[in-house]
Amino acid sequence: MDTVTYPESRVADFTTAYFVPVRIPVKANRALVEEYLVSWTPDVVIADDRGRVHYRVVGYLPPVDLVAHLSLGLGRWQLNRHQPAEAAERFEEVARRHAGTDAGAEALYWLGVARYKATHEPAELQLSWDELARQYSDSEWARRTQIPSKKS
Amino acid sequence: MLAQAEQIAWDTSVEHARDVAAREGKAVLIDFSAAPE
Repeated sequence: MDTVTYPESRVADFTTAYFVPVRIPVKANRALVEEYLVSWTPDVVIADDRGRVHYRVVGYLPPVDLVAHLSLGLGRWQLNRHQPAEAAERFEEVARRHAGTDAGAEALYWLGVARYKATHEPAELQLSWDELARQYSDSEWARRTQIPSKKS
Repeated sequence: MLAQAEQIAWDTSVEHARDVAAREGKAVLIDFSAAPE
């Protein structure tokens, strides 16, 4: 991550703008490793000021993918802070900028959730999820929108 | 070629980072790394 991903300007700029970044070497911080349930590195955790985890990214990612996932994490944090309109803007941006990727599919899923929470209109949820099914029909995120019907 | 980046100013204390996050209304990003101590 230090060789390629973190030095890249998009990652550094995004991290600096939206997060308070802290680096924890695992060998010297066993208590934090236990507290945050870190079993493998690299593990990037997005948490709040009370230590609650909102999102995590495990494994190496190239810069463009890491920015996408940090942006998703920021949206999840906003959603959990009851800021659905702000979260929807974030997810919409990820869906647009990272169209065709796993992050793009995940963004459309959460965009539907955020829009629904912002408006309480089921149609807003369906709009994003229909787009998810159209663009990413084979994705796990599209499958997550399909509620199985009860067998009689 | 990599663009010239502003380096990330990593904090080294989660407690301090939480305090700053509360003050600035930001989330905390914790990078757990296996980097040499």
